Amino acid sequence: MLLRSKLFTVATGLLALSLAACAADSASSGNLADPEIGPGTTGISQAGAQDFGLFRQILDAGEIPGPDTLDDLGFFAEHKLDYPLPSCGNDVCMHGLLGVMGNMITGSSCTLVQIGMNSPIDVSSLLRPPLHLVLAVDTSGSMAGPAMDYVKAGLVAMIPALQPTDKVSLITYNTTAKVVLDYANASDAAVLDTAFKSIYAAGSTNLYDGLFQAFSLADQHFQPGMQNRVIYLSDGVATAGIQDKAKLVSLATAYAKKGIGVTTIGVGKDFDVDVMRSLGEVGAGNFYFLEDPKAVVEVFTDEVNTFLVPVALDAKFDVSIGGGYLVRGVYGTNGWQASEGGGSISIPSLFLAGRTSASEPISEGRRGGGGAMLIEVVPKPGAVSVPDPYAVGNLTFSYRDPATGTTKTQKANIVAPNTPDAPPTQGYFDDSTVEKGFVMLNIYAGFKQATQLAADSDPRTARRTLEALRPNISDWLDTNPDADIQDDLLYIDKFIANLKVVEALSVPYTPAEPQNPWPAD
Amino acid sequence: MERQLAPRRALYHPLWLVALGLLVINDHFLKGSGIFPAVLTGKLSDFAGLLVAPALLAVLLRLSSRQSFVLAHIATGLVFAGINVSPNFARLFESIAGLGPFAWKITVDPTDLIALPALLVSYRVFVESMQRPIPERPHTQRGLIMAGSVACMATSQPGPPIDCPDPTCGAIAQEPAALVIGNTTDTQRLVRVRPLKDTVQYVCADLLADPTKALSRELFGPADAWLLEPTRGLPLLNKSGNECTAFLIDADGLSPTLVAWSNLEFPESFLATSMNAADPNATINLGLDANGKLSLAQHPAVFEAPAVEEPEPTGVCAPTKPGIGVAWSEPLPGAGPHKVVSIESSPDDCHMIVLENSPSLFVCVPSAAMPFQAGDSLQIEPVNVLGGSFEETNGEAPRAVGLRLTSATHIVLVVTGNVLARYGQSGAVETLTEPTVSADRTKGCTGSHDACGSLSIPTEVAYMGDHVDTITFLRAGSSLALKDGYGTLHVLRAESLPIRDTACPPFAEATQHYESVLVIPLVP
Repeated sequence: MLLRSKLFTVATGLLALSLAACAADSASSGNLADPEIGPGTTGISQAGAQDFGLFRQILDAGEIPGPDTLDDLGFFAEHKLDYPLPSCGNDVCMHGLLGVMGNMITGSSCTLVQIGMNSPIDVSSLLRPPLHLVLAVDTSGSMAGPAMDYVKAGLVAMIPALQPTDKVSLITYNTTAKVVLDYANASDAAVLDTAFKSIYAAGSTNLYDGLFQAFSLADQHFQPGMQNRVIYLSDGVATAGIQDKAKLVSLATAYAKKGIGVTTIGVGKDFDVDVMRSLGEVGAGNFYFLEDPKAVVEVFTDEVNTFLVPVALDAKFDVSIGGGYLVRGVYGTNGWQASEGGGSISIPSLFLAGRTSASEPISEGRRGGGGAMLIEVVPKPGAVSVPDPYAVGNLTFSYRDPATGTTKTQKANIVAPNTPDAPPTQGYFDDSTVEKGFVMLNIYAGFKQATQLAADSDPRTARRTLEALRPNISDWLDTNPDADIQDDLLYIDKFIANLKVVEALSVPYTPAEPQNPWPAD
Repeated sequence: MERQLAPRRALYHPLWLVALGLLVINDHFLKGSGIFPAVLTGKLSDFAGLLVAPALLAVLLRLSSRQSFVLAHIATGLVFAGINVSPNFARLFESIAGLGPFAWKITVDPTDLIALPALLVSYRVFVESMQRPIPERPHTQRGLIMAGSVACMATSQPGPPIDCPDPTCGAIAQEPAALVIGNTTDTQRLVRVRPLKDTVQYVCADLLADPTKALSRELFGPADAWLLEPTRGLPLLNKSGNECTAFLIDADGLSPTLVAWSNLEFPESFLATSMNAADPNATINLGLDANGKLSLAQHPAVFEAPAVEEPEPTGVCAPTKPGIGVAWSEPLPGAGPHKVVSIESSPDDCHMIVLENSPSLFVCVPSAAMPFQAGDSLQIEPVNVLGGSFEETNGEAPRAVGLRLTSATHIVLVVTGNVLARYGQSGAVETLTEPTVSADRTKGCTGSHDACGSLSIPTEVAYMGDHVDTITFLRAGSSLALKDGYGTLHVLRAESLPIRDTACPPFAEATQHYESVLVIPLVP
């Protein structure tokens, strides 16, 4: 007799928890010494999402986040990876590292190239050029209440962090946009304070008008010697004006090419994540989520001196993969473009991240860090017969120095201790930081898969996925204490607890096994 | 005057009591015992249930008229027919029944409708008994009501899996389906079936020509997941209102696999969902291959899943980037005329037209198509194209919207849809003939998928005849100056979207999609 239970779920992503095996179970650290960690190893973050605060907030509230609330770029950005000292001679140094291990499900080989960046610049002594900051603040009716209080508090708190030579403009937008402050001196604290405190909420949301006028104002006062940047705050989706998201992104892209970047800040839980994240990515800026007063302080004061000033522009990584391998997937960036024999990663701008060491304790709210990019490669059929089967790939990193306009380049070769068909049985890591990278990827994969399963009414398989992941992470933490991963574990537990509540409302059924991330193996 | 009915009296009728007894004995002792064929025990419950249910319903609802008793029979009949014809209705009913103390498992079997005449017998026999006075026995009556209710609720309970290699040992389950995914493994499998999103529109000729390349994973929506027992089949229905159907299927251990077919080749019918009696042409076996890996067996409807990533075409086949195209802000400020205070333009060719005493109007058109300046008096009107003959639609009904800006010196006509901007839509006083226009997919281009998964193939538009000297081909990003005061046409987008997600930019409701601007000079 056919016994079937109808559930609603979605076919899950290509990633899954068994990535943990790559990091936690089947491999040991390689033969290189751990990097020297100390002042000067400042992390580097990419333009785009800087946190997974929305995801965390939803879990904190006892709810289940949707798949769109989490992206690998934002998740990785909240993890500090301690790379070797930045001795390349440039403000931004690239590190290409290798990890080879077997996965726990099939035992087949998993080879990952981790690309990280750090900087010798000390954030505390950073001298930045003067700023023209154009603040575009959503004052639609939905902002009334705590959201508006957060924004006002943040803007007022930012005033002391500005330098006397800075300029500030303020545009408020709801049904239409209005210029409130036009190129005011940052030293006129009273003027700024009055303007910020006078903002009130009413009307619909004309995202386009607000962004257009903000860029237009920045363009009118554009000075090459200054940092010209728009900070764009919103709590909702467009309800008036041009509502095509592609036009907002196109506008930000066009002004980024003129040297005017945009940093986006989402407020509340209902803002257009896709738009704000995309604007941050293409607009040579960042995307932040303002979830609580802690985040207000972090975004507007702690990082005002770093997130507004890129240390590299038009960064590009050319990735040439060794003849024995094929690229399977790329994580931690949205700028990957595949091509024959590899691909390239383009990032409009790079910024300094706040933390300088993974061992620094993390506070509530955003953790900062900088993250990493991970390229998963798999053996190519007949890989042994290639000229150099030990070559995994070559990396060429180039960027434009914002101060001098000169192009800086750096190269790295990735060589494996093994041929593609004979991975070391005990695994291999170039550096212990690669191990953390794999654990990060594993957690991201578990979260991503669980959100998708839960979104499609399969909370049991979602929970099973996270429960299979949890002991691997916990075991890894026993031997590798790490504040970021420890905090991730907390959110795995919250996710599991929240799923149990949802399960109680659904018809019991037998969940599926967590999926193999390498179905073709 | 009509006599009041007392439905409780029917519960004492020998026929109702026999039917109730049969229902209990059959459901709990005879079914699956092997004493009688499954076909007989299955139908026996149907007949008995249709005799028990209407009278019981009448008692529980305290019905007292012939009309209401007729309605009780009709309601019983409709529900019975529904659960035996419609799998969806059966599942819905199972869900509702599941709220009670007994879980239901309904086998959809249209042949059960043979029991419907029992309702006529019920009415003829019991309506008469309801009018005949009998001694009142409240305790007995309550017991019968309870027994009848329990018997009705406890029917169709799912039983333990029956090891039944012989198809004759039970009725063969049949369900409406075009194809069936049959579990040929010896374990239960969680199978996920993802249909195309409701917002996806498609041309079946393009989809079926090469489903793997025509579709993309982004086009598929959330999955329905099914626990599929060994030897049982999962029915796949045709997409209603379409000529073809596609699903992305995966399972625990099965990589995403595409299943796509023509609805004409595999029409819906009642197919066996038991592998013991499967139709080999309409069944796709889910089993372990030679390497022990779960896979869908070869079948004309089974294809490799669309690639996760695909290289983007270059040259003439390169897709038009998102963000390129016309746009304007809404709501419009009213027809006007409006005095233009100033115009500010962005580097991506969007223009803020600041109007006196009205909110600003934002228009995204090429700079060459923005002839207005401060001081102009501007009329602003919407344009809708819902009829007429336009060759560039390639046979589809014209659907386009637009914006018309008219000053003393120019008319700017902005149009998006499956129609290009034409002089005829300008509202100009002077009438002109239209050139001959045709459109075709650019040769050698197979298309590419955008972020939403829509398949976009660049289109080439040919202009000839009136207002052009010689045949001229236009692609996205090109312009054409037409003679005789017709104006200059700017084509921003020209593409064929045979498979498209209408919820995503450019929100195309037709296969052909154009975004164009016609600038008509009014002053020679």
